[in-house]
Amino acid sequence: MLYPLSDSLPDNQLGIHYIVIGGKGGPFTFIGLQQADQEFGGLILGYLWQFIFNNAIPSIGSNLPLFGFLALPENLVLSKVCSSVMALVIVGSWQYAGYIMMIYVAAIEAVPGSLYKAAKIDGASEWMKFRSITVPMIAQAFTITMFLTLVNSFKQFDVNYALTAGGPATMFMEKPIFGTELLALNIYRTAFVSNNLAGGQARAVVFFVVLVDITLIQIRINKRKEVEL
Amino acid sequence: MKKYSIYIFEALMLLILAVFLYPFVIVFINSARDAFSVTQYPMRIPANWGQIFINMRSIITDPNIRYGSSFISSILITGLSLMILTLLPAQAGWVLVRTKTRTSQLIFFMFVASMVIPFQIVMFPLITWFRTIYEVTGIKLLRTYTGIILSYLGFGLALSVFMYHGFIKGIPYELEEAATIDGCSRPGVFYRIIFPLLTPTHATICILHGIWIWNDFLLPLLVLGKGNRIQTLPLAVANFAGACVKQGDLILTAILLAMIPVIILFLIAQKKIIKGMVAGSIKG
Repeated sequence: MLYPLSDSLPDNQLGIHYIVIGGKGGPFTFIGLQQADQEFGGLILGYLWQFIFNNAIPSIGSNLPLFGFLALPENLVLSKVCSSVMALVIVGSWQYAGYIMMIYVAAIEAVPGSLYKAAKIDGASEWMKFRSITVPMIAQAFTITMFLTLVNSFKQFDVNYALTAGGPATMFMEKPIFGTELLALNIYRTAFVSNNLAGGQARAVVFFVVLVDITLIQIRINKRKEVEL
Repeated sequence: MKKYSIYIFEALMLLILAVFLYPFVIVFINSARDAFSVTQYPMRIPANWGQIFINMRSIITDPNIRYGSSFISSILITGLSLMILTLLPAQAGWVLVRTKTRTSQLIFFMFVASMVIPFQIVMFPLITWFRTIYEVTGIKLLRTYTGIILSYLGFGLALSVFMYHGFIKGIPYELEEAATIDGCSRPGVFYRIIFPLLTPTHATICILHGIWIWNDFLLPLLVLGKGNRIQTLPLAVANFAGACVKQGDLILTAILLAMIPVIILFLIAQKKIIKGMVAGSIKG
């Protein structure tokens, strides 16, 4: 349950990071490359990151003595529940960051330049300009990006399927309890793996109600912060 | 002073870019390895770049992944769905805009309302319906092209109608009047005047739906199923990665091969894609 929240945060942080830089206006054409992440399906990215977490990171440990602890099998990222959730968060934010950035860029470009000039005449510093012009003017973009990241993270299925497949599982009362099974995967498993269509549908309806509630609350909170010219 | 700060930001941005691109680099250098060195030294520059072609050939000829046939069926499914998803909603949107009655407003509202429902909620009824249709009428929908294209049509229609509706509202009615006076029939008005004017919207729709359909995994998994004759590229990669005993090198080559068409397309139409995606996010 915590996953969607923790996933939408780093995305927006990256976006904000970009605003700070993009607001200054440098030639950043190569940023477009980051956008490419979005075009690959979550499934392919899931397998790719699985390789990174399982092979590439331990190999740093075995080749550099300073980071030797990374090579130990009990320190594998995907072997513990806590760190596998973090792995899902990393992949999720990596996947959507480019897209979110593009929305912020479009929003920043729409801010009228006369406001910055007026602020400059009044003697505002760069930080003040950013805080009292850029952030309020793109509050609408914040609403959109928060909404998109929240909904997408709740619906996350293919990264979850490919990267962790719900594991690492622990046995409890002779039933496997999956550590990182997200809602969509759980619904899918209930219906098609354990052949309980009715139960899966009931979970889907509950999922829908929860999703609508959370997004409505989020939009209401975000709308309060928007300004209109 | 100001110049220095810009340099610092540029350097920072380059660093972030490097972090972002690093997974691609890992895919690329590890596709050019044999099964032994991929687990041993995944971070080093490969000694023998020729290995990449050997790996590619073993992927393309692999009976599990069937790269060629799944590539073709991916293209078929995406292309046919996109054709229907631009033609039908444009017609629907045009009629909904030009007839100003209560009913047309209600129909449009229902289209928009259906966008709110997430896919997970309708996936079981969809599969059960497909089964029932097969039992009653004998039309095979599960595990066929018809079935999956029909379901993409259903899931993509709402957004398309919504966007076409918004765009057609901006086309002046006088254009159609002038065409009618000159003796153009009603279908002629649509196909000769409205449809060519909609080109930017066609591009946006194709990009938004194209990315989604090409990468989609859950719907093909449900409708086409595992181990089917027809499979899309994501399904093929999933089958391969599930069936093989963790062959790191070959899985990464499969990933690389699945990425290549997308990268080429992205490099060709980068500006349009970014524009379309941003427009879609703000309108949809």
